[in-house]
Order: sequence, then C-alpha cells, then structure tokens
Amino acid sequence: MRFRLDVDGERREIDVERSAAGFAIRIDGAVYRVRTRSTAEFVDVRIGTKRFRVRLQGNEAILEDGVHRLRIEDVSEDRADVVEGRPTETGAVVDVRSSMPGRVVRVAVAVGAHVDRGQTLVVLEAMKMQNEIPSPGDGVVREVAVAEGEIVTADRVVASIELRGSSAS
Amino acid sequence: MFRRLLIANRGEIAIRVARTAKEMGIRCIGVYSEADRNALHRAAMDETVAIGGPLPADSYLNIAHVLRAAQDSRADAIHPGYGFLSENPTFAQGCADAGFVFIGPPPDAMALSGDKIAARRSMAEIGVPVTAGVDRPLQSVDEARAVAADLGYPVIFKATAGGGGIGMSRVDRPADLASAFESAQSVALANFGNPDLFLEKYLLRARHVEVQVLLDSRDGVGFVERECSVQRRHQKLVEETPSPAVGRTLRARLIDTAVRALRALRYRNAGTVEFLLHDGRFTFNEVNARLQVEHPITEMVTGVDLVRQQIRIAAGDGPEVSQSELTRHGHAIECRVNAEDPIRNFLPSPGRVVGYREPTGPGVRVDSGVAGSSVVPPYYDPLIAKLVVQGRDRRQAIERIRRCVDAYEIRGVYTNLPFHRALLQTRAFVRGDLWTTMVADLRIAARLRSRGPWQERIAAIAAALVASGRVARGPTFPLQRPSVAKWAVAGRPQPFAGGGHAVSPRRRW
Repeated sequence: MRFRLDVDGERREIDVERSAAGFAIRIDGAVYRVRTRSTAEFVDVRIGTKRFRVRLQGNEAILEDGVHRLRIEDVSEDRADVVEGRPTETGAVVDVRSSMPGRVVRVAVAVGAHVDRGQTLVVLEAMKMQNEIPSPGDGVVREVAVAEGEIVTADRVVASIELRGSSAS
Repeated sequence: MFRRLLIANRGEIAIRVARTAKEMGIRCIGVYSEADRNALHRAAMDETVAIGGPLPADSYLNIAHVLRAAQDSRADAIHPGYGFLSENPTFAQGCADAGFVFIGPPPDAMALSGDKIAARRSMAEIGVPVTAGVDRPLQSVDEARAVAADLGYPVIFKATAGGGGIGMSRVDRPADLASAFESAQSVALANFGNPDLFLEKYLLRARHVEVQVLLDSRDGVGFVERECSVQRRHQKLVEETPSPAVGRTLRARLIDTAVRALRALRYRNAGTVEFLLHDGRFTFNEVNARLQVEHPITEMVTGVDLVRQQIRIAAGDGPEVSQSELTRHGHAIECRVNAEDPIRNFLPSPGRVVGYREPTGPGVRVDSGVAGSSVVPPYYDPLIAKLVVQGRDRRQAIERIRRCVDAYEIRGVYTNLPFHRALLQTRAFVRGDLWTTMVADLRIAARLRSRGPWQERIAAIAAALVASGRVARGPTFPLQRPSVAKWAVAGRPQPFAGGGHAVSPRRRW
C-alpha cells in the first residue's frame, strides 16, 4: 500500500507492507519494522524499543509530544489527484486543543464572541515561552474550556468554535 | 568561613553549588516550590525549606519568602545561582540588611552592570570600545529613526534594563523601525518594569566571546575567554573555551579589558564581561553579574572551582589563584540540554523523565538537575542538564562530546540532544567558523526533520493510520488548511512561524 502523508506541512511517500508480525514501513529509503496494538481510543506503535501512543482525531494525530496535522493523498492506484477536503463547513463545531503542556496565562475570548481565523483564543506559557493558540477559522466561540492560571496537558481542548462559512472557500 | 549556606535556586545549579559548599564543610540549605517537592536538588541538600507555590513569583523569585527561609534555617550566607534573584540588586541589598552575606557582587555594582546604558557609559569612560550606538534612552520613534539612519542598518533595539536576550529586536529596514520600537518597548515594560530602549548597530556575523573574572579588593583574575556564539534567539546553546578565533595577543587584551572593566564598576566576586568579536576587533556588550550557566568549561580547562572562589571571596578569604598561577589544559565544550523538542520548533517539553542514563568517561562532566523519574515542571527554565567535556584539543573535544551526545539517554521528555548531534556535525562548527545567527542561517534545526527522530514519528503515525484501517479505505480525512500558531518569548508579542496548533473537527470519518 502506498500513500502520501503530509505531517505538519511536510510531505512523505509512505510504503506499507503488512506481515504476520506487523508492518514494514518505508519512508525515504529507510525501513521501520513496526508492531501495533489498537484500542478504541488509541494505537500503540512499537518501533524497535521505542513506543509511541497515537490517537487519531479528525485530521490530527496526537502523540505524547503534541498534536500533528495530517493530510493524506492516495497514490496506491496511481491516482495522483489530491483530495481536497472542505476546510470548514458552516455550522461545524471544532475543538481547539493545546499544543503543549503549560499554564493558561490569558483567555482572550469569551463564549459568544465572534472570532476571525488566526485570532488568538488562548495564550499558554511553558518554560518561559508563550504559545498563542489561534482560531482555526471565522466563527463564534461556543465554549471556553480553560481558565486563566489553569495547567493544561498537551492535547486538552481549550475552546470550541462554531465555524461560519466565510473561510470555507 | 560560613557554616550554613542557603542556596536560593533549583535544578542543576543548586546541586552544583551544594557540591562545592559541602566540600568546604558548609551545611547546605535548599529551597523548593510546591512543584519541586520531589525535585532532585532537594536530595543534594542537608536541609530544605518550602518557599511557596509553583509560580516563580510565589517562590524562587519571591524575595520575602527566600529571606524568611534563610532566617528560619539560620543561614549565614545566600548563594543565588543564576537566573531568578541572582541579578536583583534589591535582593542583594535585602540580604545585607537582614544580616546575610550575599555571594555575588555588591548591590550598587550589580545595579550599575544591570543598567545597560550606564554600563556602556562607564566602559566608554575608561576607554573600552563599545558597539556603536546611543547612550541615552530613546524618547520617540523619530529619535530612533534619526539614530538608526546615523548608525546604518541593521540596528538592534535593546532594553536598558534588559537581560537574557529579552527585549532585543533587530531591525533591518527603516520601514520596520516603528513597529519594532513599539513592541520592544512593551516587552521591556512587561518584563523589566521599564520601557526604556536604546539602539546599537547590529553586527552581522559577529562572534560572542566573554571573559570570566574573579575580583576581590586586592586581586583580579581574568580567565581564558569562552566563545558562546552558538545561540538561538539570543539564548546560548553551546559554549567552548578557548575561542577558535582568539590568538594570544587578542586574548591578553580581552582579559586585561575585562578586569579593568569590572574594576571600574567597583565590582567584587565572580562576574563576566561579554564582548562581540567582529573583523578581529572587539566591542563591549554587557556585564553578567553572576555565576554563569557555562562556568564549568572554564573549570574544566583551568582546574579552578569557580563556586569555591565565589564563596571564599564573599567570606573575605580571597581567591586561591592569581593571574600568573593560572594554567590551561586543552579545550572544553558544553552543550546545554533543554527539555525542548527541536523537531517541533523547540516546543517546550515538560513532563516526567522515565529513562535516564548519563554519558561518562575521561574528560566528561554532566551537571544535571534531573534523574530517572524526575518531573520537569512547566514553570521554569527548560535547561535540565549541562554536558561538558574536555579534550586535549578542540578536535578531540568535539569527538568526545559527539560520543557523549549519542550516549546520553533521556526518555519521557523530548530534549534538544538531536539538535546538538546535528550541530556538532556541521562543517562550520567543526572548522570553528561560528557566529551568533549560525543556527538560524544554517537551518540546523530545520534539517533535523529530514532524518531520524522525525521520520520515526511519521512512521508511527503512518502505522497507526494503517492499523486503524483509515488509510485502506482511501483518503477520507476531513481536511483543513493549517493555521500557524504564534510563538513568543514570554511577554513578547511578535509572532514567529512554527509551533503546532490544534484543531479537530467534531465529526466522524
């Protein structure tokens, strides 16, 4: 099976062969022998002695280090066409998650507020670095799930946004 | 000599100070915040005192709490380490007022070093070359514009009260000046309570070299220079001594200048004078009025325990070495090990260390604040350990530290060790061709993504996709265009690209 996988904006050709013991995954000429164990919530992946716990949600894979954005193209039947998903649909509610563990230093929006794509929703701080979490699209804040001063884990939902059509172009 | 020393810090530096103090027969009193209840530095002390909540302002930065701990534990001296209260003149004065010996410079010398404009003026007065710039706080954007036009671009805004690279803002074109001025001002106000800025000419491809000095009322000793050009966003990552760019004549001038500079500030105890080296000429950059993170490389090549000298000077015993007795053996390099993920734009990676093994061997020293099962809290600096090696020469030191980086095992939190591995392989570093923006210019962190650890993560994600049956059915992802998270040093509002964001549609596949 072959597919293209775009992780955080970097595209790789992936070649997967199933075997009795698991998978052989080939990326850029390197081969990783991988075993997996799936549950309803996550997939445990073992590569050599390293273990990764991967949770898949929407177009994201959540590893212990945080959230990676994914995009897949199917090339297994040489269909090179890129499948463009509709970025956002009016009325869709998206959860916005924290990218790192840290402390909420500022909640910049309130429930019911209109936000633009890229507008800062929440500011996190960890180890003297601040990370602004932006809105994924134009819309209305449906829920703010954190409070200032709160400590959050890496993939915690910090807010939910109901998207409005303008960014779905 | 002191009998009871309070070490007002945490992590590796608290442990490092305690090691020397114990060797001197001094009882060590540690302090800890609620987040550090199980921290490794507590175990290095004879006694520890709780000083408040996890936030630095409630504990390690809280002057009243620290002084109270010193009183309660009947300390006679306080070592501040680096960071936190180490360069706070109010704290140094508070120690003196409460009857504790502060192990560091006198408060007025500290205040003078911390005021960058005053320090520049003092240097110019005694004939130390300073980087071209203005020696007064800028009143307006127009004034800044006029000064910048005189100096010629690029220029750099610096906060008068600044430090640690915070509040510095490089400007390459006149069009960017106004916004840089305003944002640097607000950062300076937020971080230092003082919005004053001044301007300096920004030197391209400059090296950062610095001279460690020990001073008491009689003697002054200047050590062989350290080169700290490998930086990211004005934060040092790798330091070495001696500098590959400094010969005997220049070295003598640097050392002489540094000792003279600190004398002019009426400085006592250990301090460091930073210079920029540019086209074979040096200019004064700033004074660091504390023990520095990178002090071990100087200790490795000279055999002098700098903390021991600090304590002796504070106790009135004077340093054990004089300038003429100072010898030097080989070359030392330090890599700062930070709990940051270099593959994800140095995203902070607090968490629990689940596996830990340090490299060892001849010429190897690890100053670590963590061990197996330590928790790295999100509240403090990402520095968790310092890997220091010494070799017969620079080449051997590089070979040795490469071996150690490979052998260093830290699991549970991501560290910048993969970055160090890549850096130590770059041709520029191996040649000794170093400059302060080399990490960005050579895209060292970006290139990491094309190998090892990043690929492994992609493989893990790919495997999870296949194992969960999501790929077999074809490309069924609900796709979204990414928006980029904005990053900033605490208090700094300017955005920069990178970081992950987090969005997931609440619907089914």
